[in-house]
Formats: sequence, C-alpha cells, structure tokens
Amino acid sequence: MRHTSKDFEDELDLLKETLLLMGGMIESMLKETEDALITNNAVTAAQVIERDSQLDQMEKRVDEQALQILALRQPAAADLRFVMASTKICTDLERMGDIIVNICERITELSRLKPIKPYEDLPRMMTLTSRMITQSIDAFLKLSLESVDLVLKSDDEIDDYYRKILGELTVLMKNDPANVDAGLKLTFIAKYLERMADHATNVAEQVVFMVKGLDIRHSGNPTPTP
Amino acid sequence: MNDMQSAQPIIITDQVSIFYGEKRAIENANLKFYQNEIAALIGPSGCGKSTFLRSINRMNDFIATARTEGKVIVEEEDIYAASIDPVLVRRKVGMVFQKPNPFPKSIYDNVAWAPRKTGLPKSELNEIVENSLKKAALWEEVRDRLHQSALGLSGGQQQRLCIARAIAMQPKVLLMDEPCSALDPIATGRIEDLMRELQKDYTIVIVTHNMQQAARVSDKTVFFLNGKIIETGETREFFTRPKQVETENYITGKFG
Repeated sequence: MRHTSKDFEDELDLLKETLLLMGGMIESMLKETEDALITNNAVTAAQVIERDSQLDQMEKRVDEQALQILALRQPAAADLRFVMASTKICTDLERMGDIIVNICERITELSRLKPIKPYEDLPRMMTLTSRMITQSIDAFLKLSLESVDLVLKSDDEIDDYYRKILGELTVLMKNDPANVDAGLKLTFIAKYLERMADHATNVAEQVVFMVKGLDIRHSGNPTPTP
Repeated sequence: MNDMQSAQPIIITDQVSIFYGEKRAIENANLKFYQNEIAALIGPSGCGKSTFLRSINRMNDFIATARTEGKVIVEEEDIYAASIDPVLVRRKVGMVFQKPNPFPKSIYDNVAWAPRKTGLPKSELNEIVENSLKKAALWEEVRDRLHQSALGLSGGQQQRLCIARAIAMQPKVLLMDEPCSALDPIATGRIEDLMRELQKDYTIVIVTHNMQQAARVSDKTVFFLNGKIIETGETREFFTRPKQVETENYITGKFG
C-alpha cells in the first residue's frame, strides 16, 4: 500500500534511491580496489580515491533528505524507523568509502615496494567483504532478513581471515626485517577489511530495526525499541 | 500504565455499542482507562471516536436517535443504569469541546456557574474560581479582570477557561474532543502542557486528529476504524512499532 501523499512517497523513494546509489558506488569502488591490489596498480588505486568525494556529497544529501522528511512529514512507525536507519546506514557507507581510500593509499605505497609473498587470503578476504556489503545493501533494498543472516554469519569468517593473515605476516616480519614495510601495510589492509565488514554488519543490523523494530546491536539479545 | 496510575481502572467500557437509529457507530468497544492516565483516541473522520468519547459522560443522550448498549462503568458505577442521574455523571466526567464555548458572561461567572447551582456560599465560590483558574494555568492572566467578559479573551485563553469551568465541579475525568483544533501552535502547546499538569489530578481522554499531538501528550493510544477498536497500546510503542497493519497504514498516511 502506498502513502496517500504522493510527495511523501516520492521523498521516501528518493532517500532510498540515494542510499542505494551510495551502496552501489561502494561495491564498485571495492571491486576496483581488489583489482588494484592484485595487479599492484597505483593508477587504479588513485582513481578509486578520487571517487570518494562523490560519496561524501551523497552522505550530505541523505542527511538533508532525512532531515526534511523528519521536519516536514513527522514520520511514524515503519517510515520513522526507515528514516532513522537511513541516517545511520549512510554514516556506515560513508565510513566504508573512507576505509577504501585508506586501502588504496596502502596499495599505492605497496606498489613501490618489493612484494613479500603472493596474495592468497587477502583477495579472498576482500571478496568476502565485498559480498557482505552486497548482501547488506540487498537486505536494505528488499527488507530481507535472510540477507541479514548471511551478513551476520560472514562476520566471524572475516575475523578468522584477519587472525590468519595477521599471524602469517607477523612470522614473515619476524623472520626478515626487510619485510616489515610491506608487512605492516598488508596488516593495515587486513584490518581495514575487517572494519569494513563491521560496517556491513551495522547496515544489516539497521535492516532488522527497520523490519522488526528490534535493536540487535551490541548483543545477541534483541531489545524492542523504544 | 505509568507510575502515577493505580492498578484499578477508573473507567471500564464493556461491550459498548452505540447506534444512530439502525446504524451502528461503535461496535463492542472494550477499554479500560486508569487514574492519572492520558488516553488519546485517534482514527479517520467518521470512525466513531467522538461518539465513543461522548458515551463516557452520556452526552449522546442529547441526540434523539442515539442508543447505547453495553456498560460504561465510572468509579465502579454503571453510568447507564436506570437509577443514575446523567447530570451527576457529567459532574464526575467533565468535558471540553473542539471550539472554545464560554458563556457570554464574566470570566468569574463562567467558572462559578455550575458550583453556584449547588448552592455554595460566595466565599467558597471565590476559592473554587481561583483554584480552578490556577489549575487551568489562567489565573495569572485574568486575576485582575475576573469580572470582564470571557468573550474578550483570546481563543487559547477561552479554551483554558472552558477547562477551568470543567474542573470547577471537581470531576474525576476530563473528556476533550479535539480541544486544540481551533487554536494556533502556541496556544496548543500551552493546552498540551496544561494536560500534563492536570494529569496529576485527573484522568484525561482526548479525541484528536493530530497524531503528533496524540504522540506528544498521551500515555495510551486507541485507534478506531469503522466503529471498531483496532489497536490499543502504550503511545511510545504505538507510534514506533504498531502491531496491527491497519494502524501502521493509518499512522504512516497510507490509509484510504
């Protein structure tokens, strides 16, 4: 059922659309980042970094649209939860953009260093992170709790990857101090990916709030809001 | 139920149905209102919320075709029982209407009018007028012109005067039928603040078309649709996580 006010309906649609555009841009930036890492390509990394300013503008647009809806429409129930969740999701997406920039900066630095090992788990971790982001945006688009479950389950796998990569890099750096420069940068990238997965998890948690009005953050026990 | 409320409801409606001729305007309404509670009745035009409100102090008696079935119990007394005097019911359950309707008399006489009918001496009337105007947050504005016409007051002041007039009879319950619909936002804000003050002494049941007002002032919200109660719930939850899809559609503007 649609809203009686077509303008209100359009405003909600526009807010959703802007968030989906942000999500789409994150997905594409991360894909290019993955290529840049594998091919050691600083040019691609620089192109990705340039795109971040568009995300920043979209974040501002989402906040402005949400503020307008709150001020002019006084939304209730599912609409209110959607607007609240949108402002939080938008912050998570913008942070993901910043983290992608950090990853690309490290890739640029790595391109000037001698590789210390072939990348195996790092691209896998990046692919999984990318999938989590796609699933969290899909959950938001379709209000799908199934997609939420997939995201939440993947987060543990990401943590496992992080621990494994960190362990391997620590050994390499201990064995040869010449590995420290590149080793540290790769460690950062793994940590950045782990943070991105946390943001994807945040988005998924907001979808649960939108659909069920339950706050599942910070605990396994959902609490009704308010 | 908030902390101020007792466990015992002050008003119980039991299977209340209200008819206008053959048409059933309210169908089997079962509700409980508690001491010191503000309850908001919401719903689209024609859903029966004002009809239901008027049943709580027998104001529907003035409508020739209106007929009420079921029980309305106020302080453990069935107000539709044959032995009950509706005038006494209205002393216990006061009412404030959509449009301020002061008598064309002085401010003092508006408040003193009903208590004077009970034969109270002047000294007691003075006390009642002062206390009622203070409770209605109007005393400071009118104390120096009590004997001037009430019609010279602003709309918001007139509505607070009507509230003072309603509480002059020391009721237990105040019914308010869209009391702010004719007022500007400032006057509305004053009435809403006043309701929170009055809540300390009275149970308030308000009909409002303004959902934000219901959300702001009430502890409990009741949603009526086509004469039926669709959902009753704690207001905070009602406007964030309603249980019924009809409620969700109405409060998000998807109704109709």
